[in-house]
Amino acid sequence: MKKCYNCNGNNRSSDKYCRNCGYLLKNDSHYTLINLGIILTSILLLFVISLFAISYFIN
Amino acid sequence: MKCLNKNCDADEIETDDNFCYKCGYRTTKGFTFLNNKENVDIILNGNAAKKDNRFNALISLVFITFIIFFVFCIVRGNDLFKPFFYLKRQLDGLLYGYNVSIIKTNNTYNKLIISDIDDAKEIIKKDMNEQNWKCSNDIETLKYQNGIENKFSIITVNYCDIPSDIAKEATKVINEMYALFPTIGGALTNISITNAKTNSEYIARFEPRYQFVNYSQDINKYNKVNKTQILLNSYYFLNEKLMKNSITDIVKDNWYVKDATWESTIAHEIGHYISFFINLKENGLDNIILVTKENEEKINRVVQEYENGNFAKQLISEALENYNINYEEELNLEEFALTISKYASVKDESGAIIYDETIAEAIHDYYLHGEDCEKSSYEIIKIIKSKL
Repeated sequence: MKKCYNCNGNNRSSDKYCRNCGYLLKNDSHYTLINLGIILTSILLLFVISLFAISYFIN
Repeated sequence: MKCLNKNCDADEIETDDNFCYKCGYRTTKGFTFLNNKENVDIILNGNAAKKDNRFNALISLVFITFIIFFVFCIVRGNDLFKPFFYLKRQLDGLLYGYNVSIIKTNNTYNKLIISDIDDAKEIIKKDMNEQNWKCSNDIETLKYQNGIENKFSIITVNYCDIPSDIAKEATKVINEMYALFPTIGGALTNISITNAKTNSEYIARFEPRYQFVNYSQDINKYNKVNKTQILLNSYYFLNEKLMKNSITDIVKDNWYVKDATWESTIAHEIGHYISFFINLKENGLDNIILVTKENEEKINRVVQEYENGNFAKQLISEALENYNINYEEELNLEEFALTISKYASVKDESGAIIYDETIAEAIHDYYLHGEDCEKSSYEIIKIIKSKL
């Protein structure tokens, strides 16, 4: 059994699309990766901005 | 039940399914399901739909980060990465317990086409310029560095991270040496800070030939480039606290000539350079920067001659002869060298006096005391001046 992340509908483990809402059944890790990507990119953005600011203070 | 999509072969669709499990196509029930606006809203506001919006946000964030980084690179250039090198210097300081240099003087290049002396000088300059941006921008230090570079036609001078007061003293020594011996320009390619293999290896060091470009290549295919350099050990020149103590704290008493200082050891190294320069001049060479198939043999011979010390021994013997005649003495070579300093009579592993050190110490003495230097030093200086 596979639960749809979108509508919580029940599906068989071999299903590709949700039988209830038609959403593509993705792994939980897919969404974890998106969250992780957003956190890492935000850190990177902050890092780049800090690097720019610090570079003015370092001779 | 079969899927309504002709291209889909799903045949296990249940009667209460809204969508095909295999292709996502709506079923007959799904058609009715989608006609209800409330159902459509539930799908569009479901968890996954929200997550998919976050995926779009991630793509936008990556794009914005890239653009900002690109703009910062344009605005700050290499300076944007200076904090990294600042951090590296601090970490190295913690790791070793003293400041080390970020500059590498032992780079080599291979299979480069070097057509003429200008190409050779350009590659020497480029090697240092590509590292210079990592150094701190101490305006005073840069002023001293660029000053002697331009004044004495030294291809590159690199005082990277040397405190300005030490750079000032080092520059003073170099200026005075070139004033005492104004014709020695042209063969010295680099004066640079470096990390010696061991801290106690040397304070400063003269390297007559560093095989820099195409050293392992066939001379018939590639011209080669040598550097002739004076290296300043970062262990001393980057650590001001250490240099505040007297030089006699690390060397034996009377090892160097009287009144020697940390910076005056540069005069000693320029002394080696002067000895090498005379050797070049007597063999009809201006420098050994560009090595071609026409001059390779000659350059190898001249460097070999300098390194085996025959030239220096001959010069010292001549000075000794004059000394013994002028001052009615009967000194031998070792006694003569000892009148200058202990270092002037230092011996190699085979027990032979290294006469180039005698010459360098005589020049060191002359730099510190002018014509009031030891009489033996002055006899050597008279011969050196006649050969320049």
